[in-house]
Amino acid sequence: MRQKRKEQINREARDLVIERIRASSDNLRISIGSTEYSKQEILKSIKEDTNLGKEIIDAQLEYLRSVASGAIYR
Amino acid sequence: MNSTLLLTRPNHDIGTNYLCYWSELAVKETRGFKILDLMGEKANRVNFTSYVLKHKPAIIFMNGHGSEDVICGQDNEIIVERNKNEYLLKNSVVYARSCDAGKRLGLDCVKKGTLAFIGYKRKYILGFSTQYITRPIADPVAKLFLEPSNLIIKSLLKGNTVRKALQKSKEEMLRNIRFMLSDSALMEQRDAAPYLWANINSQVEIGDLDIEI
Repeated sequence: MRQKRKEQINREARDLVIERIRASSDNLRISIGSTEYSKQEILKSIKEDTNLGKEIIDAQLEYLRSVASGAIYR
Repeated sequence: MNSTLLLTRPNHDIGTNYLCYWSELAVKETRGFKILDLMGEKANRVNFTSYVLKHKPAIIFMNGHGSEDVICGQDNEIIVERNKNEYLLKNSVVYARSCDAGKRLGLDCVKKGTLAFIGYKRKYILGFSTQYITRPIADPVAKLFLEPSNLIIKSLLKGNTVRKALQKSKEEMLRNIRFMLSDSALMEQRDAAPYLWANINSQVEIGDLDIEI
């Protein structure tokens, strides 16, 4: 039961990040390691569950948690 | 302590090209320091080794790709490698603007005599705008990432302790994050905020933070 709930939360978090990226500016690119990524490439990496996709999800969720907790404003 | 700063700044892809241009700004005001600049092709292992052994720089500012075990130069040639030549960083304060090097390499460097090592324990992420790729210094997104990061070096050159330099840099990153959340920010600046926040959280500092150069 707990495992099922965890999987559901992970799926919802992933969907939230996908929507955030989808709504983001087409002009933004990010460089990680020796590669640059466009919005479409980021979306693809999240959908395909690559290491980059996992890093992006972690970064986005960590940020949202910090905004929600107020850590960013301290 | 000797007043020399050694800078490595490869420029073989978009990410390193941004770091290359922006690192020049960090050392523009030399404050009496002698700046040894290994730019582009010059950022290779042979030159790095020779410059370190000859000049024993007090500050080593490395830009380029990295991993838990290495920091690279031009065309990803390994310049510093864990368990091979990290002794080269002995007696220096090091800032590695590279992915992951703060996780393991930094720790080993400090164990082997590096005075302080500033780096990142995860991927270093740089946000930039597609409209400014040929003008990195004018990029309003990259500016929010690289200005506070440059402040570490600027503050060290001014004679601040490592701790103070890091504090100033972190305060500026937080100011930038708050700006990115505001209505004054461009859409691409706002959307880049999670990545700047990730850099804040992955920055690590190891060694003697109260050292003054």
